[in-house]
Amino acid sequence: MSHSDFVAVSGFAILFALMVLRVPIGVAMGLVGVGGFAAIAGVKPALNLLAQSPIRTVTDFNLSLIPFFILMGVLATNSGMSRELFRAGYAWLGQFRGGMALSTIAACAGFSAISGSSVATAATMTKIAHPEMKRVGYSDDVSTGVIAAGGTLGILIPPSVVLAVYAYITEQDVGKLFIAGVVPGLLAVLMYMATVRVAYGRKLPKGATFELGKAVRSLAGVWAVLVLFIAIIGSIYLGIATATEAAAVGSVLTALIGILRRRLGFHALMESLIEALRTSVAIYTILIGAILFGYFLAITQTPQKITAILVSWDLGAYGTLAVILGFFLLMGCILDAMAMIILLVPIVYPVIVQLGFDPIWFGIIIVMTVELGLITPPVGMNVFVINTISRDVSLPTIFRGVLPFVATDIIRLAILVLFPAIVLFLPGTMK
Amino acid sequence: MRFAQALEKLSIAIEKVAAVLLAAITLLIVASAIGRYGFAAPIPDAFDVSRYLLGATILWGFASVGFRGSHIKVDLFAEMMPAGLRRLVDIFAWSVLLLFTVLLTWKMGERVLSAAASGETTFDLRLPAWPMMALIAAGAAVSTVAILARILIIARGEGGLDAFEDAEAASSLDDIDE
Repeated sequence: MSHSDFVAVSGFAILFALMVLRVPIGVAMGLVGVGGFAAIAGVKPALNLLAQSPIRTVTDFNLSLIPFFILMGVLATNSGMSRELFRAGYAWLGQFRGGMALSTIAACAGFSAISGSSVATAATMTKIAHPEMKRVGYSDDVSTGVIAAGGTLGILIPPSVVLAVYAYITEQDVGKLFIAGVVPGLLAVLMYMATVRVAYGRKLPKGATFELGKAVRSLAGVWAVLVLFIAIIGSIYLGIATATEAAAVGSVLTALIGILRRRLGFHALMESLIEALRTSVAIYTILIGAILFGYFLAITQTPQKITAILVSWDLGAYGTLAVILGFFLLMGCILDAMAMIILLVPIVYPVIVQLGFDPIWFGIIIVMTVELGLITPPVGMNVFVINTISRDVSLPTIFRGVLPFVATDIIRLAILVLFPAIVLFLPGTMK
Repeated sequence: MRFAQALEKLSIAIEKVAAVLLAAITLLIVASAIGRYGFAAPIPDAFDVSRYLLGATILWGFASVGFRGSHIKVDLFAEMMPAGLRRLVDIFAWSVLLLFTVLLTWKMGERVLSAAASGETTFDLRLPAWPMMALIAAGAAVSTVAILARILIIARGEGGLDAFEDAEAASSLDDIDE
C-alpha cells in the first residue's frame, strides 16, 4: 500500500469513527480533509486551506439560493399553506375511495412545490393529515405510510435544496436539474396515488360527496401556491431569472402573501427567518467540510482509484450503477439525504461520467435513491420524524404502511433508469 | 440553571441579528434583480455586498447552531447509549467542533489581515473588502465562545445536544391553527 493509499484509508476510517461519535458531519469531513492533506503535503499548506476555502464557500454567490429556498419553505409552512392544500385536495379528491389518502399525496406534492425539504413536508403533513385520517377511520399504518411516502416528494419536485447542492458539487446547471425533476415528480405523484388504490383501495373509506361550489371555493386558499410555483419554475425554465434571483423573489412573495392574508405577523416572520438560518447553517457546515474534504480526495486521488476499481470489476455500465445505488441505499441507514449527496457524490461522480451517463439524469436518479432511503427500514428519516410527532404510532407500524410505496419507488427508479428520456426531455427544451 | 438560561438568551439575540441580516440580503437581491430587469440599472456592488453579508450571517448563525447543538450529525448511535456515556460522547464531539472552530478563527483572522494589507476591494465601488471579511471572522470567534459554553453546559449536566432534525421539524410544529 502506498503512503497516499494508507492516508486515504485511514482518513475514511477516522471520518466514520468521528461521525459515529456524533461529531457534526461537516466538521468531521473538514478536519479529516485538512489532516489528510497535511499528512501528504505538509501542515502549513493544509492549514492554509482553512484560510482560503471556508470563507470562499460562505461567500459563494452560487450557493445563496439555498438559504432563500429554505426561507421560502419555512414561510409557506408558517403561513399555514399546507392545511389549505390538504383541504383543497380533499374537496376535489375526497369523493373517491381512499380520497383522504389521495388528498394527502396531492397536498404533499403542492407543499413540495414551495418547500425543498422532505423532512419538513413529512412533519407538516403528519400534523395536518394524520389526525384527520384517524378521525374518518384510517388505520395508523396506512395513514402514516402515505405521509412518509408523500413527504419524499419534497426532495424531487422543484425547488429542491438537495438538487441545488448536487448542482453545486457537480458544476451542473441548477435550473436544468430543477426542470428535470418536474416530470419524475409528477410520475411519483401518480404512482403513489395508484399505490394507494391498488394496495389499500378496498380497505379505505370513501370521503364526502363532491360539491362543485365547495371545490371551487377551496381553491381560494391555494391559488397563491400555484402562481408562485409557476412563476418560479417558469422564470427558471424560460431563462428570465437565475435560480438565486427566483429563490429570493419567491421567498419575498411568500412572505407578502402571508402578510396580506394576515397569516404572518412580525413574530412569525422573525421565527421563520431564524428557522431558515439554522437549517442553512447546518447545510453550509457540511458544505464547508465537504470542500475541505475534496482537497484530501484530490491529493490522495481517491475518486480516480475508486473509478479504476469499479471499472476493473467489469460489471458493465448498469451493473456498476446498481452497485453505486445499492451503496447509497445502505448509507441511507446512518446518513441523512443532504449529507449523503455531499459526502458521496464527489467520490462516485467521476465513475458515472466515465461510464457515459448524463450528469443531469444521474442527479435525478441519485436524489430518488436517497429519497428511497428516507422511508426504507431499518432506518428512515421521514419515518422517524412522523414517529416524533405522532408518538402513539410505533416505528414498525409506519414501516409496514410505507412498504407498498417502497415497492413503487423501486419500480419508478427502474423506469427512469431504462428510459432516461423521461428525465431529460424537458430540460432538453431549455435554451 | 441560570447560567444556561442567560446563554440561551444571548444566543437568541445573536440569532435575531443574523435573521435580520438574512432578510436584508434577500431584499437586496430582489431589489437588484428588479433594478436590472426593470430599469436596466442594477444596484452597484449588490453582488459582492450580498455575498459577504451572507457569509457573515452564516458564521454568526454557526455560533448559534454550535450553541444549540443542532448541527447535522449521526444521532442514532448516541441516542442508543446510556446517559453517562452519551454525555462523554457529546463532550468529545463538541470538543472536536471547538478545535475546528479555533483553527478556523485563527486562519480566517490571517485571511482578513492579508486582505487588509493587499487592499482587496469590491468589484463595482472599490470598497475595501476586509471589514466585511472581519465581520465573517468575528462570527467564527463568537462561535468558539458559544461552543465552549455548550460544552460547559453538557459537562455540568444541564443539557445535551439537540437532534438535528429538530431544526427543520420544529418550524412545522407551530403551524398556525385556525
